[in-house]
Amino acid sequence: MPEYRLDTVGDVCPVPLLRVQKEARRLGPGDLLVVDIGQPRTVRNILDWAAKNGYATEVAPEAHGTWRLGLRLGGTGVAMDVGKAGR
Amino acid sequence: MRRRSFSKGWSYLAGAVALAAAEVAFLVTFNSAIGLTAPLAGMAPTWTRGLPGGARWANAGLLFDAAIVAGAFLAAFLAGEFRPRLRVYRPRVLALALLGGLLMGIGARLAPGCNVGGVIGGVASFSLQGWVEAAFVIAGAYLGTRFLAGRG
Amino acid sequence: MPERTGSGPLARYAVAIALLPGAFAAIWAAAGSFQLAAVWVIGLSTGFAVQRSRFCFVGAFQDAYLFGLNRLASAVVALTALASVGFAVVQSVRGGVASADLMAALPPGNIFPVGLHTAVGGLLFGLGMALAGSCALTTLTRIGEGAAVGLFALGGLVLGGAAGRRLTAWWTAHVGAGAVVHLPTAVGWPLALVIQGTVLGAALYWLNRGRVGDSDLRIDESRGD
Repeated sequence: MPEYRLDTVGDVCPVPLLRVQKEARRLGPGDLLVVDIGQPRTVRNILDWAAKNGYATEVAPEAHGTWRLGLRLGGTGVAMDVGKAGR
Repeated sequence: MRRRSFSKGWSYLAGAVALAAAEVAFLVTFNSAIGLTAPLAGMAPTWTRGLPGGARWANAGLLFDAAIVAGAFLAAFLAGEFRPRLRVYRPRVLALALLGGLLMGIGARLAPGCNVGGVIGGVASFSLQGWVEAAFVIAGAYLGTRFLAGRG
Repeated sequence: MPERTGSGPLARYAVAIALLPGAFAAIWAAAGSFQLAAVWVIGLSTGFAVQRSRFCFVGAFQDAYLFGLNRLASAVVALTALASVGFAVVQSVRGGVASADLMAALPPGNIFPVGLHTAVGGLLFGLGMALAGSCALTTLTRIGEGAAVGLFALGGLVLGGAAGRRLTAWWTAHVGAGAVVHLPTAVGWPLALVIQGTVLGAALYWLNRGRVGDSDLRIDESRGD
């Protein structure tokens, strides 16, 4: 179960979601994509897109104004513990 | 920390209602729709011209822009979302922001008005200019987005 | 490790009180003007609402065009419709106000001349906001959130604004100033309201086409919005 990483903290919309969209195509069942995000609008943008396209998500706040988002194929309620993901 | 996860915040519709309320409150107070870019170009915005006291209103436009920054800061700070950030941005992102700002600055004087003053304020004022600007802002955004998304 | 800086409850209340009632009273007292204080309050509320609702005009276009997410674009149309209703009431009640620019009585609002300059200006503005990732409003709110990239866009707005003033002066002298068209004055209120309602309604319908019975919708809704 590979884990992919993406750092979008220095990106401006729509680049973060474009990158997530591209990375997400590589995900197989059980794979995890971990995305670091620095803009609240971007977090919501990715959550809305993931919900629409059937990805399960989980968000953990990293610090003020910084979030870590986990993305998996399908289903809901997948425990990801993205906050504990290695860095 | 109270905050366990990400708060989506208000719904987009709630945002729309709040912005519409701000627009109407502004219209009632100043007989003009909100404008943001004229003071950035060193001009007194049109909405200050009909007010009593004349010259002392010259900087009221900048005060309004500063108030928007302060309001966003307040909201972000209270939600634990405020974070000063500079070094994370790559030069390309900063250059695009500067270039985009330049184009916006020129366009907002010519059109005239930004999304708020020209498009929303114009259309809501039943001004033909607002509709025409809306159409061309969308066309410009289409070109810029295609470039960003690498679609030529 | 996650770093948690600043903003204990005390700091939060101190900042909130300093920014809202504090600054309101200070401006009112210093300038002796209720209206100048209103500038502060309406601006502060606008910035607050944009940050909380993650509102973004560039995002509205890009979400719809790139990702098929039409909700933000729908909200922009709803904002326009709601503001139109309010403006229609204020314009009908107040009628014309003297305009220093045009020496003609215009209803309250932003009723600017339309012409080729509008097309060119709008195109430049739209291109610029897509490249910068924020328009004038969200440039200001991003700065409030601490994103220094917004300062670069702001610098561009200031420099471009100065250049745009010269270009506009040249354009007005050599190409023309355009014409002011206030739709209700031109075609009457009933028809103007019908046109505005139809166009905005059609936009909302188009943005929400295919949503009913869409299996995506259920997942989308269950997340709350």
